[in-house]
Amino acid sequence: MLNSVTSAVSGRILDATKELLQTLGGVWLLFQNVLRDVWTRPSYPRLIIDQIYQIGVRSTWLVLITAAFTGMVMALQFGLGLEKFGGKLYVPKIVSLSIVREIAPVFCSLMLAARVGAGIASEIASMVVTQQVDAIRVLGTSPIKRIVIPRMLACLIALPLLCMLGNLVGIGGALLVGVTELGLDPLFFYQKVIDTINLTDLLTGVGKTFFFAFSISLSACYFGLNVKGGTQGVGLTTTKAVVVASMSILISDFFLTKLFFVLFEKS
Amino acid sequence: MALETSTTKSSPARKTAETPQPDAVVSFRHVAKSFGTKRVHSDITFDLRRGELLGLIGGSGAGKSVILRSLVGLEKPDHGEIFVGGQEISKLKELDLIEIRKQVAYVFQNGALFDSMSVFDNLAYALREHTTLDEEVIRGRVLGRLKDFGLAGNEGLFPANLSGGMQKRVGLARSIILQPSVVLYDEPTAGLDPYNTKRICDMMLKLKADGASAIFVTHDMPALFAVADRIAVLKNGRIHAIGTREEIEQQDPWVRRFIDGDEL
Repeated sequence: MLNSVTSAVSGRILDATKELLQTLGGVWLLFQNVLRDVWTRPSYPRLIIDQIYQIGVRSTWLVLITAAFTGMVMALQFGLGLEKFGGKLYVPKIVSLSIVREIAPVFCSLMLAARVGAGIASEIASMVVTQQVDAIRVLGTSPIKRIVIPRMLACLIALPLLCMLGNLVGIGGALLVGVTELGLDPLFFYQKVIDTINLTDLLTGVGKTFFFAFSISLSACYFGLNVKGGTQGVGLTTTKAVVVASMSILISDFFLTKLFFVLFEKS
Repeated sequence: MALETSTTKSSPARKTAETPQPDAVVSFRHVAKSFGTKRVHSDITFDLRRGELLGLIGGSGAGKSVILRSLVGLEKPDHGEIFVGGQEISKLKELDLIEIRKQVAYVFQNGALFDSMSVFDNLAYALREHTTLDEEVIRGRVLGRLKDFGLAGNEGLFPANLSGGMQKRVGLARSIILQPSVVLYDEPTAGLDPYNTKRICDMMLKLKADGASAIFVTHDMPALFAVADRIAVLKNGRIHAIGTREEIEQQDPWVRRFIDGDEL
């Protein structure tokens, strides 16, 4: 009995490890193909612009609402919490720093992973299932150039911009709550934010989003292109792409924070 | 001339089959292909002659479409060689296959139209990618092709707005817009009414008359007999028989029973 349970568990671990290695290998190969093809002709600027619209412009409201309400909640939580210790005046400093360094980059990226990662994965998977990707190849063109690269570049351009917008709106939301709920002076709030945030904070926050954009688009494209099992597979692929992108954002955030700390804060 | 394969290693017939025939535009030589543990092709050897329309039949899952997919590099054989215009293509990389794909058109069973593009843009796709023609010339050529295929006035529609028969005709028109020398039809008449089936068959005959060689994968026997010069029968991963209808039916009673639907 114990033997069969052990062998079943070890079999599952082996399968999961194999699948993980296969995925990592596949993503690496896709990345290599992208690096090879991104510099060669033909390039498709119109497709990139179209994707920037689809990925960036159409995600703006989602990011604005997320950032605004996150900033408002943070200001409220810190304000009410710190008020007990007479630390209400630190709210602008703490909230703005948190938003710029962590909250805006991570939340904007998670929102994009959910909306855009799912969209890219399901769109590409549907194209695979309906043989449109085969048709692109048969017509003598490259799915990497026509599908993957425009989406990756669009994510790399749009996400940092959305993050910067998220910074502004998040701090704006915090300011609103700081003034209306905590009774802080708006000028004081503004001055504290300006004094607290430096260029390094901004750059490390926005810098993270390049990595996040990369992991969102690469995982979505990889899972989309490798869909198995027809229309049912499209749903599974979409879920996988979002889960992997979200996990990779959260995990890589720790390592990037550590890296940026080592690179910029110590010097 | 029928039953050209199914030979043993030592037989002289096999030796003659090693090199492509001089009039062959496409040649398969001992091609084997497996998907995981499932062996689809054991030893596929045949030639497609210049200007010929070769029908390819066999049971479902016999690997007919895999033959077509291998011909444009969508599948790589495990063993064997595939020649297109005398060039061995089975080991070519994706970039090197582009020139082959300009010569060999693939007509997908469901059309495989780009659903984010209009009918016009679907047809203009290959012209914009592979030629330096200006947009006016492309427009004229696309509209002319749509007229040839009875699709005039539909250029602004999207694939989702087309009937199944129209999608197949647009798919066919898109595939041949670069005037390829070989056309691969993957069940182009499947699911069509007799009227649309006849239209597709007429178009296939017109392309043949224009000099294109073709392989026609189908389960539609009346359409097959209407257009095919020769018929190849795929069975157990090999070309079981190849020749005219009369030849293959005379050579093997199983072929007749298969065609009549009495045996798989």
